[in-house]
Amino acid sequence: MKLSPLSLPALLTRVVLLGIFDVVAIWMAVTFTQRISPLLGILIAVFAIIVNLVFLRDDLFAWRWIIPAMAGMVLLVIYPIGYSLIVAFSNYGDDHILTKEQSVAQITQNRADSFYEPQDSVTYFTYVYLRSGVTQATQEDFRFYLVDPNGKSFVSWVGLENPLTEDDPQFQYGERDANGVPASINEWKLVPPQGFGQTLQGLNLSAPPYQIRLTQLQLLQRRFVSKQLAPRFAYSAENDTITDIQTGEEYRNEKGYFVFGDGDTQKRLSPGFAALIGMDKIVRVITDERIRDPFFRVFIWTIVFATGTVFTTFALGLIFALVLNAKFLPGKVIFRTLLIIPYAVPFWLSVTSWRGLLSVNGPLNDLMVQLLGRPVNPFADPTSAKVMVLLVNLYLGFPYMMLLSLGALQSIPSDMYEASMIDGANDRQQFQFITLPLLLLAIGPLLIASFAFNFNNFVLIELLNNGGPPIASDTVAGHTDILLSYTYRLAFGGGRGADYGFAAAIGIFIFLIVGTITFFNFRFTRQLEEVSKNV
Amino acid sequence: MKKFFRFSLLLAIVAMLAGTVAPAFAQDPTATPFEPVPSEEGVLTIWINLERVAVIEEIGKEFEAKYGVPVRIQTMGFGDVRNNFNIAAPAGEGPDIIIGAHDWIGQLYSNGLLAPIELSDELKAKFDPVSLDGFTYEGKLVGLPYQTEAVAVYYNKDLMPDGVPATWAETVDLAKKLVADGKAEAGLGLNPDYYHNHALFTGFGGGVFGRDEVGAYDPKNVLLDSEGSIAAAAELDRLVKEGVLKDGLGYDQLRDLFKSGKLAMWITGPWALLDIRTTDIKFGVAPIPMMAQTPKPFVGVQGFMVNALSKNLLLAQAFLTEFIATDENMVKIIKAQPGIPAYTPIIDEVADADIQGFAASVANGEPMPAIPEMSAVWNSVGSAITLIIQQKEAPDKVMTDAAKAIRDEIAKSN
Repeated sequence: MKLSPLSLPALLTRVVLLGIFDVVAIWMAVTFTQRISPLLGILIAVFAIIVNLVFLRDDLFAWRWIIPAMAGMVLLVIYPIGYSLIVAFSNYGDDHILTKEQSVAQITQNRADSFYEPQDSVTYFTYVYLRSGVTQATQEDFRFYLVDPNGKSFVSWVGLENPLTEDDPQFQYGERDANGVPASINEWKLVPPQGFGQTLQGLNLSAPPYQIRLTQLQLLQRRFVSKQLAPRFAYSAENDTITDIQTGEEYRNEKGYFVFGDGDTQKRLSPGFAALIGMDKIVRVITDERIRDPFFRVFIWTIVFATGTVFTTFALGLIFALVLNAKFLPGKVIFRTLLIIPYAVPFWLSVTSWRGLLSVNGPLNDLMVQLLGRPVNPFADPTSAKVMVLLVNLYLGFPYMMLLSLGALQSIPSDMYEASMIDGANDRQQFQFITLPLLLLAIGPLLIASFAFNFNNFVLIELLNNGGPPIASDTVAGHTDILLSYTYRLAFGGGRGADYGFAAAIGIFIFLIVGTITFFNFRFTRQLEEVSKNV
Repeated sequence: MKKFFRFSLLLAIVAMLAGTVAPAFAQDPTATPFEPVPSEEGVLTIWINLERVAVIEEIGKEFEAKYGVPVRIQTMGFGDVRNNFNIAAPAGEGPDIIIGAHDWIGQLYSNGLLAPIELSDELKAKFDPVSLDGFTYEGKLVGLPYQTEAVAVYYNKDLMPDGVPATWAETVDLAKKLVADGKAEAGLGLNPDYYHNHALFTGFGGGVFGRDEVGAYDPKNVLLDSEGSIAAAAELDRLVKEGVLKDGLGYDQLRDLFKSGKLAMWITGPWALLDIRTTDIKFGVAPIPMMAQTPKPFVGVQGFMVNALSKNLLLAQAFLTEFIATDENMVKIIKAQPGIPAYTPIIDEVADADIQGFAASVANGEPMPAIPEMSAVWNSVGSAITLIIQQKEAPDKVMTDAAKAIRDEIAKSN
């Protein structure tokens, strides 16, 4: 393609817009790399470079419109799928939230049992002195005045081999308060201790064979309490093991825990960490009979629910559309506005309203009591619960279908109807052979989208009746649970809390199922299109 | 072109699909509009649910005035504090302190996110032992309690001038009589979930988990199909058959019935108190009547927890033990919203008759298990109770099934 050379304003506009884009892209790439995922940051950076190339070189013009679509697909589709896949091969979930580094730091440094207090340990009241004039303090800028239980005092700092006694000639003290605590040591001034949390965290004053560590902050007395402690665990990066120094037990890294021993007597160090553990979660989805057995019944109901919803909403939407499309109907605008209301009201608001309306002492049941003499509880009986779910979803979904159909009806050329009338077709035949096929051609793909959406309509089920009523007390599945809400119950109501790895593993199976169904649906619409060519 | 159109359509649909699936699994904190205020050196950051925000802010201001450390409060929904903390803390974006319920500690401590809190023996003696028991995990205290709660019986004084009878059997008879005489639409309200029913289960000698030698809940010892638990399930079944308990009455329905004077007795917790007080109903609060054994309702404990990855670890601990755990501030916290204080020296100053009624129930109770295994319990036993209420299956069968499923689930996830 031969391009005309750009005018100056056009070139300027392009450069400015590209500059703005680059600023945003760099900002995103940096934040994502730092805070979320380096991989995602790199992807964004690569995409930004390609965009710059494409928009600056005229010979790549054809790619201009494809690149954004490609980038969207990678960021919104491929990346989440890849991420889910990785999570499915991991143990990520409760007990395995931290990274390995954080877990090791917790075990060896931060937990109550990371250190032990030896028999001959000494406790000190510890006062903090900061070198005058320091603004960004590091641990090296501090001196510590330690008072032991006998009232004997020491001075120490980071890197000093052993605390020095108070009377060491190198120290000159400032004025002392009632407890004998000096206001300064040489050029170090006494400071309130509460402002240096992170700086002093993990402070380690050498006092062989132990370490003096801060264990408590006493706000009123403006001091810390510190103790001579000995580390309990040692991490070896080389062997990737943690050794219990007291017992000599060596804990090895196994599936997100440091463990010692085997079988029932196995001991493990808490907290665990997130790690790739292979096929465990995926195997569990397939082999666990408590998951497999309800799976099929949930699957069947999911299909019934999704197809039922598409069919009923489309049918009702189409009927209203045909009525509204009729030329003789007065007050069309009012009807159309009224009918769109369910679509305009926020989804969760409608669903929770229905939940209240249909409950046993809700207003609809007052009516039922008048009519039948007894209340009806649509939440208790499996069949009525299913009907209720479908009806509520019909209420929520038909306006959308009506809007689509209205649009599509306008686009059917009226000469087709005229031609068919000349051929002697009646209304039913017109609808069957002209309206419906042409309508389906236009909105068929949207029906598939609606199917896929309802297949995963977790919010409706969860808000309306939590998937109830229960099938049995030995499964988490309820009669109206769809695959996604069932997955949610499995993954988040497990024996140890939330299990994201497991959720991702089931998510992959659901993805495969929906993917397959969608594929066949598209085959079907293509056939429809071929039919329409012959109309 | 057609091919490209079809491709982009497919893309749109797949993206939509991914968009619907992804939020359920979404893990990164940026996927939600929530922007955490993280821990920062020299500033105490507290995450709190929407209750009691004003009083904590006030206490924070006093702390700043006294010690020069600003206290920053971020509010969010109750469950959100836990979920956001569980995600944000490992990423280094957690606060220094969170305020929440003791049953979070199993999950959060196992995840390595909570730091232990040390109390002097003198201070320990000032707290209700059940509240410290609740916040103790693997032998360590990991929260500073301020309030306890447990279910008790709200009763309508117009319908029951003599109060709640001493025994369960008499209470059930009275409930039936009030309905038979046409005075009440329903005699006794009990939510169909295990939380509200635990008192009944323990009253008949059952329960959920046994205790080990040091008194901690033992997830390997599931009691839900024990003789006592099955007897309790049979009692529920009897109550349904005799028309005392009805299907379809959840928390909202029972509350509406009680507020309109149509329900004589309602077993639930102090969270309903303010709402009921908005009506003219004359009511009282009494502990749950005596069954075969003393019924022990689940005690929930509210408290402060310290982020193990906090940048002000020792300061946060000192804030709690030196500043919050004082008569003055504990009174402020409880007065901001009526509740049962976990800090006992102030009880006479803050408790009215209703609160005393709940306090009596707490005194009988036991802490709700905080072990993570509890998450396997709610669903299955909730289903079991619902199936009994709906008269779909026999009480002994649902309990045996539920216990078996819970044992399986616990064995698999360990």
